[in-house]
Amino acid sequence: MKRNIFIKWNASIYFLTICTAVFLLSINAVMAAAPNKIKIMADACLTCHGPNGAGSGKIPELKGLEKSDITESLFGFKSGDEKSTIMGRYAKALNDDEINLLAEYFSALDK
Amino acid sequence: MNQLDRRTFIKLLGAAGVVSTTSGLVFPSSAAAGTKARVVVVGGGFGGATCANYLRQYDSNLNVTLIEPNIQFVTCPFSNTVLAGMKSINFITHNYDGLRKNRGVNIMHDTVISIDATAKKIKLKSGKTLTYDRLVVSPGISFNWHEIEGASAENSKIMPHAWKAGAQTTLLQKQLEAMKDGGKVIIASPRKPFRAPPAPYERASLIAYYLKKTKPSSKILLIDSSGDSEELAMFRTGWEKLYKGMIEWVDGSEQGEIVSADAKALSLTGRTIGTLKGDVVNLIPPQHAGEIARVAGLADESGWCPVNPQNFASTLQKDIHVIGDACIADPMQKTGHSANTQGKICAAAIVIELSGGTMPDVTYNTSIYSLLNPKYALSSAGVYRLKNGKLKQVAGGLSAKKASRKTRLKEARFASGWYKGITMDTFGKI
Repeated sequence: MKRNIFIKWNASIYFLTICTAVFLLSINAVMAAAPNKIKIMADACLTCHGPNGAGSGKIPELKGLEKSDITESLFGFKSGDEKSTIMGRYAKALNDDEINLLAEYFSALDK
Repeated sequence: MNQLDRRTFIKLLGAAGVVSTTSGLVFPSSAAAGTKARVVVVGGGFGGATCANYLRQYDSNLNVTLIEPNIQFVTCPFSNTVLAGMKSINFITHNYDGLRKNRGVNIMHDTVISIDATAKKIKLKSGKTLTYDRLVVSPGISFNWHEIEGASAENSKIMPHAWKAGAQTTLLQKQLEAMKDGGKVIIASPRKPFRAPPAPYERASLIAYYLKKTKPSSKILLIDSSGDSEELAMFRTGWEKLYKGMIEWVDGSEQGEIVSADAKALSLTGRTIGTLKGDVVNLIPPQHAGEIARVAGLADESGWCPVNPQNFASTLQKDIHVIGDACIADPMQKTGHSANTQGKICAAAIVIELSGGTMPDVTYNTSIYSLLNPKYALSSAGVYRLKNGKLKQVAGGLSAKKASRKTRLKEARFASGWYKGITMDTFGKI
């Protein structure tokens, strides 16, 4: 009987440890992600927009916005239709594919 | 152990990729590159701290060590707000806890005294020796004192440069505080290239902001090595509105350059501008790459470090990268934002190269905000791309020439947001 309790207890500990390991693996997406074109370009935005694109002071957040809202803004900044202080000067450097992929990247981040 | 034996458990753990790092924290292994390469980063400013931070974010298997002599880093951005009494020195002081705890970067507070690029070894002041697979050098700037007769590190205690933030910032602030009303402040900017080109204009603006409030009969004389420009014109428009008659601008470019300084007399002499005397003298000397870059043979005859801008690899020494103010990354200006960008791109390039990949085509962003007062700011932005191995500007420019005070206020608010964002991003704060 004693032995059975020990086995159950031991198995639970191992189970919990594996859950922790799986949890740690899941945050790996944030902790370490191989750099590719869009990851590198999105990380450039964080200098002003803050860690994870969460916004910084009066600089707005990017993460979790609707993809269409981000593309609308970036295309608007690029064409000059949407007024801005600095984003118009940045957005002109981006091509259409980059705008779409950046919008997809930030919209996929948790709110 | 009949339900789950130890061996199975260890296998599962291995499959989940859990490894322990030298920092004692547990990080999952990365699928990124699968390497255990050792990268040493020298210098914990905007370039080095960002690079160490993103190396670990891009590949948590990398062993990343940041070597920085100081326990805290005092930023040059926003240091002019300390001179103006708007912010305290604590506001611009940051530590390395975020990099250590949140990113698993090994921090060593030590000084590199030599680099052996052939043996891939560095020697530290403490006597320790470190080996590396890749070395990133981000040493910032040093001063060329000998270019101005009478200028020296010793004399900077009388005529502070305050172009490396910290004790020099506090010294200049105290001098401004002690100056009598009706006094004259001289700001002399150095020959190009130098750290943060528009920053002398911001400094003149914010010192004027402070003097207007506390000693309104005082004057500022700005000896400007950059000469006339579109950017200067925008500042002069602002000065006319905010500080009419307080800031006198003197063309210090070319023949106007400062050639000698007299710390006892508090005077500066230029070829065509004669000898000018002040009550507070802020002499910003000519600059070159931080000392270790020169000692290690990373700098060319210009005093700065030539690099391949795709990965910031030195063109003079193998497996060493140079980022930040020390490198030649024209036409990117030498700013904190540029250093931050270069740190990220260098980190990505190292991780990609170690896994045998090719660096993609990306944009290189930079900006610099300048406050004219707490509610009035201008900015300069630049976006660059690699074309035929060189950086070419593809977008950017200055703030709108004509804009309402509401727009200038918005930029001042964005300047604060930018400062918070870049310091969190650089120093691994979450």
